Amino acid sequence: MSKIDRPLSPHVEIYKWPFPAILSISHRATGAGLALGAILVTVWLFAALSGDDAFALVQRFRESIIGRLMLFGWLFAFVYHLLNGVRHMRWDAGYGFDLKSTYRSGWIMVCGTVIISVLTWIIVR
Amino acid sequence: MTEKTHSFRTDLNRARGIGSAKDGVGHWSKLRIAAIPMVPLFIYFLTQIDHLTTRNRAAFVEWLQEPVPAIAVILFIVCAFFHGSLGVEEIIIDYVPNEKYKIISLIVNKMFFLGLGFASIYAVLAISFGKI
Ligand code: HEM
Repeated sequence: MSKIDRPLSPHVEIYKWPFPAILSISHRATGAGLALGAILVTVWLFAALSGDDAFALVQRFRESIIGRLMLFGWLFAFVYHLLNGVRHMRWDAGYGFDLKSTYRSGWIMVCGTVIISVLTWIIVR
Repeated sequence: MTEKTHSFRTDLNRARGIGSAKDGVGHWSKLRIAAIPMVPLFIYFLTQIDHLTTRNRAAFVEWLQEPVPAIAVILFIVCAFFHGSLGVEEIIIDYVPNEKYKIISLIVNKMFFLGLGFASIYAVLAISFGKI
């Protein structure tokens, strides 16, 4: 396949990262992370299907330090992605497009993510 | 464009399918339609958190044999895996410029989510109908 060396307009290496850009790429990163975490949902359901030993193994892993870190990461990513997804769909519906609202909804979303995931984690542990 | 003067194809027909996704707005709306049900489902799962995190397999199985939890879990799997496959598709299209690798990645992605999705639904149904 022939490679065409077209010039790229300056982007990530040139500009500073404005707050909305950080939020935007985090939506993509959390989406990809959630997709990988989906493997664990399947593993967990099959463990429940296959037997007490398999289920106990999964539960023991979940309660290990790595397991807890992964589950909190997944929960945090999920809440972030959910709230930012709602923010996205509000834009899609045509609201909140100006710069001021974008910053405001961004901060509301970030605070909401921290509050909801920490509160949920207190219940889950 | 001289080509256009002699063509019987409509402008819309010529424009269709030449975007990077080979697909129109359908991708965009499917991604969102699959996302919306996950919001109430997430809230429902928060109310069921004790059942979801139990150490006791028998209790978990009993919960999953109830119709509402089983249907909720299956709906969530359908939405999450369908939405996820469309989302990862979007990422692949953006970052994989080489046509050959792009198509391979898109196929692998579809198989990944189809496989995991059907396997997960199988597991839930098998538990629900007592095949344990
Ligand atoms: C309540 C749950 C969710 C909501 C409301 C939601 C919403 C959204 C929305 C609106 C977008 C489009 C963003 C854009 O236009 O750039 C999106 C993208 C995406 N979502 Fe979700 N989502 C949810 C859960 C999930 C889950 C569980 C996964 C993984 C299995 C996932 C993976 C992705 C991916 C990979 C993308 C593409 C990101 C990109 O193109 O940058 N999402 N989501």
